[in-house]
Amino acid sequence: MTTVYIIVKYLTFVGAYMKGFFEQLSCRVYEVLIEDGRYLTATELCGHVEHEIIKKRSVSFGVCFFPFLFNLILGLVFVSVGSMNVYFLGEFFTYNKGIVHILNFVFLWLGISMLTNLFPQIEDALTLRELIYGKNTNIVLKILAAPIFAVLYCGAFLERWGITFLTSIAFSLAVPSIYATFLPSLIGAMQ
Amino acid sequence: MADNKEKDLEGIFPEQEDEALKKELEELKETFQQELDKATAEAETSEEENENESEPDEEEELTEDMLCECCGENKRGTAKDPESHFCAECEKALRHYPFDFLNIIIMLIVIGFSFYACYVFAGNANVYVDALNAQKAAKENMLFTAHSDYSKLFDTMEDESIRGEMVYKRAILNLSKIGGYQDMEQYASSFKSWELKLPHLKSVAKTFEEKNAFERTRDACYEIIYSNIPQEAVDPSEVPYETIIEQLKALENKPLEPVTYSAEDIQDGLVTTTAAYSIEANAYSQAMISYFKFYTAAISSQPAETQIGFLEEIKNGYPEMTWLYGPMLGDLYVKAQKDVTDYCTFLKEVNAEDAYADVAMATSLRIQGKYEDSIAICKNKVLEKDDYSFEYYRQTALSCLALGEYDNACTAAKSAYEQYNYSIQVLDTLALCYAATGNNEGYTEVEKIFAQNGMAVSDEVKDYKDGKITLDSILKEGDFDVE
Repeated sequence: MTTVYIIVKYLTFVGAYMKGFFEQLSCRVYEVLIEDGRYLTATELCGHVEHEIIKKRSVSFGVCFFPFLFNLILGLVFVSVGSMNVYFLGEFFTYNKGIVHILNFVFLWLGISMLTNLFPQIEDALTLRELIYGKNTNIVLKILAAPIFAVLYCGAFLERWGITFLTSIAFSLAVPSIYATFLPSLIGAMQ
Repeated sequence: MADNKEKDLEGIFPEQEDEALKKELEELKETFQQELDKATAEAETSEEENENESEPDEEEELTEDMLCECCGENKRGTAKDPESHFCAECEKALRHYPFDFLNIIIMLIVIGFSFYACYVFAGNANVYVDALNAQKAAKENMLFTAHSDYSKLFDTMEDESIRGEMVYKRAILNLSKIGGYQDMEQYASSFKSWELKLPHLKSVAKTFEEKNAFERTRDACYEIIYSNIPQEAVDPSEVPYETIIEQLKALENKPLEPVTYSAEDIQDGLVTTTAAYSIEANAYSQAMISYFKFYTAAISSQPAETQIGFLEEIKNGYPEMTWLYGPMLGDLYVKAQKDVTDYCTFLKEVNAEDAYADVAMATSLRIQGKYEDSIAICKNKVLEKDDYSFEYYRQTALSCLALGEYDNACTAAKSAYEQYNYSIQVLDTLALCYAATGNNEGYTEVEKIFAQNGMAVSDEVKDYKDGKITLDSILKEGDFDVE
């Protein structure tokens, strides 16, 4: 399955690259020791940086969550424009020249690329589980962390099998329907 | 003797003995010093040698496992973490792992691009909203609103230089539901001819095929009908009903001949005129054939059941084509005094804005004698400023006449005329109301309007004015309406 994983990572290399970058940034901020800072190695660490085992709960959460958040924000921005222009409006060609509207497809690919590479490595997710759901954690914290932990944990497993590529494509297809639920009323309220 | 000898020696060599001893001691001292120096020198040499030999021993003690994984020189482990794989210096550096210049550049490019994406999204937001509203209207079966929204949207898209094929696709599919095949032509150029073969535009290709089939069937049917009816014929009995029906039936199994394009239509191997997009149908439209059978039955005054039969053929085969059969079938049901409640509900399901559904319901209730209910429906629709307001006013006028409220009937009929003055039925209804109220001046005015258009008030209304028939015979018998 590593092959599938690496193929997906290379197909979505911008997202993998940005994920690696944000992981490195988080590690720097939390002073986590990075052992290998290459983002696109053809191993199971592709799209991640190799860092020491984190023993502190907040650091582990930060290193898993913030790269997820940053890639999610970028992914949503790109996929919104790409999906609305390509799937919803069907702007496949430019208005004047009638040639392929590459920019729209680039937006869509970047969005899918970012959303495919949201989640932490399995090892990091397991560490996070250990630190949050270990014996010494307050029950309130366990409950509060549950939703985001569930997303990160499940996502890490899906990403391991390259399934996030499919889920992000599915999400991009659903974007027009999602916007249909609130965009008209939002714009209406703003006007 | 011995004692003497000692005395002799002491007496003979006392000074010589001291000097010899002294000399001997000095020699001994020198020898000792030399030996000591030699030994010290040897010891120093030996130490140096030992030192030199011991250095490689120490290196052997710090094996590769003990060296820093990063620099490979210093001993691994830090004060804080003796188990660390890195030396203190490297560990400090790795905890602030440096970014490559390229990393930062790529990150800045992506972030910058994301801002541009936001700008594009904001610029297109109005188009998205209008398109979403139009789509929502279409999904809620508000087909006329959707059509109107799409028409406005295309102007906005043109201003924004957006070529949204999927929007055109939805507009075309919406048009097909309201029978707007003529209007489709203007959107046909939005697609490249080869695109229509792709899966995402398959439905558009199918709609163009239907359009082609409809238009060609319509032309073929008109040709059959008008080639069989003498031009001067005005009497329904003169229409050769059986002959026309036979010829129309023959179309059902007849394949459509392919259209031949002129050289002007073809450029670079592609057909360039709008006709290019009218993908050719290979069979006549069954729905259109049934419609023309009904048309023939109607102009030849065949029984209502026959006419209903032809329209029901369309309803059963192509229920979504209410634009083709809806009002006619509704009228026939109403006049046959059938319960049209389900039918009107069905019309509303297909097109929530199908005004005819409410007209049929109001008419049906009036015919059943439920005048108050009929007036209530009409009142609501008038308040909604429906396009069919004139008809609701007219139905109100007829209900009021049936109830004996002639003045109210007159007011409603006048409103109907103000709303829409091109309808013969509206004018006849107005004339009937004037006749009922004894307003001769008003009646004469209506007669003048008819005369200006080369027509006259209907015989039924004239007969009522002359007292030959009653209101009941007009409103509660025959076709339950003014002719």
